[in-house]
Amino acid sequence: MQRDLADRARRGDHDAFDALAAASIGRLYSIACLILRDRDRAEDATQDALVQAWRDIRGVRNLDSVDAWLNRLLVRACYHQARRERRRALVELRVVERAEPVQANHELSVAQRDQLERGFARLDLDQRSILVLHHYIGLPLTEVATILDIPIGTAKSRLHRGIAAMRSALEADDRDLLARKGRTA
Amino acid sequence: MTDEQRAARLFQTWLESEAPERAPAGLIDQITTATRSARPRPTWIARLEGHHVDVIQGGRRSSVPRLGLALAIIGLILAVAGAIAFVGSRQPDNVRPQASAAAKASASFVWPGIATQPGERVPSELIGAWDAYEFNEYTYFLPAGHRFCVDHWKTQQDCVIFATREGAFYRNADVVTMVDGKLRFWPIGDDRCVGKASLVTFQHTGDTVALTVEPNQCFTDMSSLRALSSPDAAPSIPPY
Repeated sequence: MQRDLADRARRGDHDAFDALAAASIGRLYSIACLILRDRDRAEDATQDALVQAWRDIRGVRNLDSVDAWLNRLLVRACYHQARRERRRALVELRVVERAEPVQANHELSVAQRDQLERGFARLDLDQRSILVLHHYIGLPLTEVATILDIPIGTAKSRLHRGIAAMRSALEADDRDLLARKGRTA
Repeated sequence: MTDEQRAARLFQTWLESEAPERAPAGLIDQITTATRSARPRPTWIARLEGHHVDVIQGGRRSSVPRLGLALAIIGLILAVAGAIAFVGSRQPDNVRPQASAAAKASASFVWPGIATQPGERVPSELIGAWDAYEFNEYTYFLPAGHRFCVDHWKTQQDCVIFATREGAFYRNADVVTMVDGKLRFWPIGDDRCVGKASLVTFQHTGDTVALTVEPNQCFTDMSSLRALSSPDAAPSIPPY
């Protein structure tokens, strides 16, 4: 289905491209939200990536790798947005708003959420990208390395350091809990 | 479940809960409007600048030559052909130099592969497949002469290869030797540390091998290794 849409879009069928974009936009927007931690910028990145996809659709050689290609365009758009944001952050402060309430998840305590949120925010964009593509989208590391255009060794190292940082964040949570229990005992 | 796996699981759960369920309603319309007013770029420009990805097959990349690279190669071939034609046209017809012994030898030249790395063989206790649980993958210490080291990675020495949990083999490997009681890894293939050796100490205790990267090496960290639960737990090495 997606292969057929990509093939038709490559031959100039804009309706096919619309259908391809509609099928991918949810995934791309989610990735962008997680990497950038800002829904406005995630919208911009998703739009940039899909507009770029339309401009370069004729260059697609392998229709089976369209998803990987879109993911790559999106990650590049996220980097672009982040660079733009760093420049803008010098003159303006942003207020991060959540467009929809967080869904209740009983596997995670409020404290764990808070620690994960802060731990993730401390990661750089490289680590966030690899963690999202591997742990949220579920792509094998070989494919993640291809999408990010980095050697596999670098991908492994970034992933390892990213997970170690998140683990440290959770352990800090445990330590805080123990300290609080110690104070109340 | 190890602490590492528990952290990964919680993190994955958190990512899923943080991700929005769907894109904002107006976004697809904005994209449609923006793309309707733009035309796709010609194929050759799109291929040159379009950030396309190569096909991934079994963890290895089947390379699709980029246009720039192809043009560079064609240019190089034309330049060499032109130079040969120019030199040939200046050669006196009656002079036919005999091929020297060295020239004859170079006619049967064979690519020697990876240069021999300094050091001794790896201890036999390390040879085999291991669970690199911190990186969520498998590590194989293959003995010198193993066909995968010789035929695929072009080394006659001990080599180390890696595979994902899904059974895909990575595009990098290491020639590994022992230098002053430490493991010396010499990366080959698609690895950011190619051309730079890294020294690593190891401590084998029971079923576990702890690997510690020495300071100021190209490697930043390595996963500790754990014996496999069964001999066939790791993916089979593909035939080469």
